Amino acid sequence: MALVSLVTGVHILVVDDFVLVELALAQVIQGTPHTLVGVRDPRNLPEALGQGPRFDLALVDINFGPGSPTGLTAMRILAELSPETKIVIESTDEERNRLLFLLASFVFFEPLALLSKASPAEAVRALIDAVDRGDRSGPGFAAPDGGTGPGPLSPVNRLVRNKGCLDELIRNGTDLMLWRALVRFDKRGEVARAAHVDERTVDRFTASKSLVVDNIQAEFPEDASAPAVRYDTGGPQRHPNLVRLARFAQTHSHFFADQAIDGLFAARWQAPRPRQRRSWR
Amino acid sequence: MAAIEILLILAPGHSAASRLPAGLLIPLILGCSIVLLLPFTMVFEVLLRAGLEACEISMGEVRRNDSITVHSLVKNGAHALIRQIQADAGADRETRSLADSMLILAEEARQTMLGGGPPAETMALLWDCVLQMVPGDRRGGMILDAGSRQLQMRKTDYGLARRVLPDLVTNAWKAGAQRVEVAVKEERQQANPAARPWVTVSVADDGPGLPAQPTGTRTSLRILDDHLHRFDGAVVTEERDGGGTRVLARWRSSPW
Repeated sequence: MALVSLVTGVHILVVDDFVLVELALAQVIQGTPHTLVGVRDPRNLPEALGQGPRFDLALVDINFGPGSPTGLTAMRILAELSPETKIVIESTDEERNRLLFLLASFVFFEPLALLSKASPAEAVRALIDAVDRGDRSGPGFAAPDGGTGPGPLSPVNRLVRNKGCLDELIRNGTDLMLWRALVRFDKRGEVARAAHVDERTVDRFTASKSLVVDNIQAEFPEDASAPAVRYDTGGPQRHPNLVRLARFAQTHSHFFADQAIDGLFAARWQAPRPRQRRSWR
Repeated sequence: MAAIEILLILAPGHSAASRLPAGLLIPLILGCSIVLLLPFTMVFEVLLRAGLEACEISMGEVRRNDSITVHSLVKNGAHALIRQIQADAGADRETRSLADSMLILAEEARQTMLGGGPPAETMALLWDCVLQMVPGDRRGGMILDAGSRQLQMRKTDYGLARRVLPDLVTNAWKAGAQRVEVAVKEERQQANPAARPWVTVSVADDGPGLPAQPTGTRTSLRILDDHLHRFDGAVVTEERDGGGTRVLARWRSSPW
């Protein structure tokens, strides 16, 4: 089987904590020359990549359940140990907390495509066949520049076009600490104490990030409708923008809690990069 | 006021307070106590409000994490189900099995949330979830071997057991079995202990036996057999001595 896959067909790695996803994909590629191996946890990737032939394609999930690393860790390991393996993110459309994960995926790893878990079997087969042919023009594939054609952008190209938002959202370590503080607190003093900064820094952060969040929510309205936790603090809010940022942080708490982003951003901040224009215009 | 009261209590022998008549001293202490109570009440109220707010924030965090878990588990199951229907002509059997799997997942998520922390993927948890799918009056006849309860499995093996066990148990009780005995084992090869162990799920019942099926029928057992081939495994059925059927689902443990 492995020998056959070297000659024809795509050797696929499914990185998903759910074995049924692997079984369903196995059904989808039944009767084709493609082959499939599944890994349930990103921590097992080094072992899986060290065995057998090289994988042509990795279908990577974002969320691996409580206590496990996320898809960002999986993609980092793939990029380090098997850079020639093309990555396709497999994600559930309805996950409201996935936006920052997806933006981060396109910022740090440039995956080939985004595949919805709700995609019909034909679409999955078409994507795998396109990878086999080396064709990147099918639906779901990311255009390097986010697409320039007329008409509305596809979901994946919308992410590519707007990946600069993430850099605006988290410019340095202080920003990251403030976002993490906002997951837990929505009062100026508490946020400042939790992030070890003074209250004026919180004010500056609130002013600049409110604009970024406005733009993200304009570009991704489905994210803007994410339900946020509301705390009844009695009476009008003294810092409504801070409260709004806290709700955004709470919606994306899983992303901000992901330890993988520390290393990814640290490497990005150290690397020299050209100044980018704001990409949502 | 507080200072006066402390003075009255601590130094009655030295101050002018000692010269006050007792009838005046006691009302004075009581009066001062009420005044002293006010700042204490205010401090307590502030502390209680802060505590309440901290609780609400923590509850919000717990709700968010739980919602992510439920969402991920149940939506994954639903999407696998939809994909299966689209991809497989024998979808009717598989549809039922996958729908059962989703019920198991929802029950697992509920029990995990009640317990807190990540799920301990033991057979005890899976068995408790499988039992929830069996009608209440039949559960008494469903027996899990005591040695299997604490078996902790790798994620893939647990996922396969979650796929296999509900099917086999449901087949047994729906066929009219009154007693269903289940055992799950991980067996290492004695000749080569380093090799991946075999996982065996055995479901033995006292039912009427498997009905004859026309050749080529996509029964749930054949679909399971197909799935287990991916893991060097198979589903084998055999008649039990004294009546009934034993179904063995076996696969090579996945390293991941």
